[in-house]
Amino acid sequence: MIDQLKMIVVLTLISCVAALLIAFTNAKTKDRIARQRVVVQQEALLQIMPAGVTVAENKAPLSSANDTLTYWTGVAGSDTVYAFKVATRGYSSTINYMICTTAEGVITGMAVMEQNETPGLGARVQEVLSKRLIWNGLGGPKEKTASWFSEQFKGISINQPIAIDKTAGEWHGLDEKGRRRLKDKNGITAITGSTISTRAITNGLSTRAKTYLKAIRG
Amino acid sequence: MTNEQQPTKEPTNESPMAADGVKIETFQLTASPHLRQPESVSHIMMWVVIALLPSLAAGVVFFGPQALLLTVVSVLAAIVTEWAIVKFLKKSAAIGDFSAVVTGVLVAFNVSSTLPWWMAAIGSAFAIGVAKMTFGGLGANFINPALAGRAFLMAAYPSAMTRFSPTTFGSLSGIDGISSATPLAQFKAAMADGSFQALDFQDALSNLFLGNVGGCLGETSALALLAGGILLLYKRIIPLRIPLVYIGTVFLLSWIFNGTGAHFTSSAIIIPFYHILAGGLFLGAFFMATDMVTSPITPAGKIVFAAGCGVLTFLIRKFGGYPEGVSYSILLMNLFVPLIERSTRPKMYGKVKNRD
Amino acid sequence: MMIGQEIKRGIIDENPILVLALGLCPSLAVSTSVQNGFGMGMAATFVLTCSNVIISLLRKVIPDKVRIPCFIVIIAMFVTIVQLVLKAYLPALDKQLGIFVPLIVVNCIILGRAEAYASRNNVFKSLIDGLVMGVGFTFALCILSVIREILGSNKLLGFKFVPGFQPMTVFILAPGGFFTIAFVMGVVRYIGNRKRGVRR
Repeated sequence: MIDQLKMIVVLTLISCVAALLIAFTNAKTKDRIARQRVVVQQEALLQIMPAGVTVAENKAPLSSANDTLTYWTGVAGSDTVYAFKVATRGYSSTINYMICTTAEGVITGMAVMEQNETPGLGARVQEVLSKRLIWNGLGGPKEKTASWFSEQFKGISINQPIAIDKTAGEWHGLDEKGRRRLKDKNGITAITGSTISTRAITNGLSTRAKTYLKAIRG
Repeated sequence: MTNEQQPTKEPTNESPMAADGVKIETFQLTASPHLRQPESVSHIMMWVVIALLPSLAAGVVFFGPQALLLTVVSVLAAIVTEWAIVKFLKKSAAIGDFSAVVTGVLVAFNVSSTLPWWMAAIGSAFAIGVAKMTFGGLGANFINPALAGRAFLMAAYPSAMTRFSPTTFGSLSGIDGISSATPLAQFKAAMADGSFQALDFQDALSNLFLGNVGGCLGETSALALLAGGILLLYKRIIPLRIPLVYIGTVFLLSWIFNGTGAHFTSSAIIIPFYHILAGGLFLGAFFMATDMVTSPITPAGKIVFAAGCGVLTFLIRKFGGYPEGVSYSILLMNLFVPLIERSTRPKMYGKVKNRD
Repeated sequence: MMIGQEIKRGIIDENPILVLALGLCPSLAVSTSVQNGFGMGMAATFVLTCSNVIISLLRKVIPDKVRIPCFIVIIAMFVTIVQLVLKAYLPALDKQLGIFVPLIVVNCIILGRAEAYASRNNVFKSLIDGLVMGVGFTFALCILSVIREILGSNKLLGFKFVPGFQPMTVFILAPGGFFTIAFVMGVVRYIGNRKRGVRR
């Protein structure tokens, strides 16, 4: 009887102390984590919107889910572009990304914000390639290059079926002709070994993004 | 391989000398009946190489001297890898047998003629080094080394391995005017979008039989492969049942499930012939599924093995993401061989059924 | 105990991945690049050391029948803390490691050392054990990651390595992980055998 009591007490105590410590750490890091999300979002907006637009945040009602969609408009003269978030189920996580499109549905910028896909495979949707050879120095500021995976979506129309090319290799290795050929068939290249993650993103564009754009245009 | 003397088993012809000059008999374990054959390993391998020569010639005819270069590089890589590992492990050299040559040739036959030579060398080195030597050398490997090498290359360089060029006579799919895909890929695409024309594919049959189609450099010419296969059958080096059952199963399945809904129309009859001549089926059925180390010893087991290969090949071709299924189906069936052997052990005369 | 001896034990003689064959799942998954491997190693070392210390402190208090649940709660606490800190201060690394950070909870090394060592030895010894095992884990991860990153993506630490060499994608995929681990384990075993004079 005493033994059982001891077991219960010890385990409960340890759990309580653990919970306390976790709650403490959470309180201390909560704000920073939330700020990270906002920073990532702002950075994404900056990255995908064309230069020189004034950005405003708006909300539009979504008919299907009794929900409202938050979107951003970028106005430069008479052109308006719309940016919004899309979430789709990837291979091992939900992939959150933002796209900026014209009113006709042509993408002007894309950025993946959150994903938890397999490191080295699906996670490469956010990969940024660096061209510096390792012995050219580990010091120095990192070059600011965008993720090649997002870059290739520029000019893709979400109102047409998006083709996934698995045989041409990855987009960053293609020359001008190859890239133009891809663009002609509204296509992008997949990440070698991660068709599912790639397809999740294009499916999200063909389905959700299309719906969102329609809701925005009213 | 043990060195123990076991009076009831038959000795092979290989008798390595121990350090002090005493002849040691190595005995090979096999299922009954115990019959003695005069061949040695190198004798068998030599004939296999001879049987592969027609296909090599066909590869050169249809794909140019590049085919020969790839084969030579692949063989050299295989020999060097085997020699290096044997040296490193200080084993008595089994290099005298030509098994490394056979593996090298088969690896080359399984790649496109456009493959860079160094990739073929890597595949060959992997086939010998990892698939064969790490498990104990000839006789101890559990999967077909050449196919393992090909699978490795597919995983390592997928885009290079799936790039095929037209033959020297300008044919890629075997059908005049269609030069965008190899025969099986073309078939899959045509069935998918409904543009399947029986007449086109009938014309393709002669191209397929001769080898005037795109594909891996050793797999295209059914004629050359058949010639080699018949030679090996005549020399009793490969059993008839494996290629017969394998090709027969694929034929049967692709006829029954031919996708046109009918069974006795001209389209329905052409399709199975198309299927057995296209892709690497003949190469796999005659030269790789029959590999004596990785196929079942028991006669009934061979049938089960070959049928399994046939079913898997058909399934992969029809439902899988790849247009070709031969290499993976053989590899998968290799994994089942111990199980197959255990279930198909021949009954021993006079043995009473156990009471438990 | 001699610190030098302990370090050798953790890195070479009883390397958690290469000799004890513990924690193979995250090793295979995370060793695709040196940055990931090193980051994971550091996170796991932190958790291992802290949990070893706490468990050693409480070893006389925790009743034997509930020791596994207690260990897990303690380990999970540290992993959660590590994850929150990573998300707040090193979000890029957290994104790279993904779900393998929370999976540190079930990393066999940590539970294994808690059970085999920390629950039976004093705090100082457990602290050292956690540290050297963690260092060994990180070391092995780095070796695997270097091989896989160079062969599989022709990069090292994110920078292009050899110009012109076409990397073999298979090495950053699962099969490549198995090949690499098997090969490195084989080499380590071979060297160990040679040292001990064992004839094949």
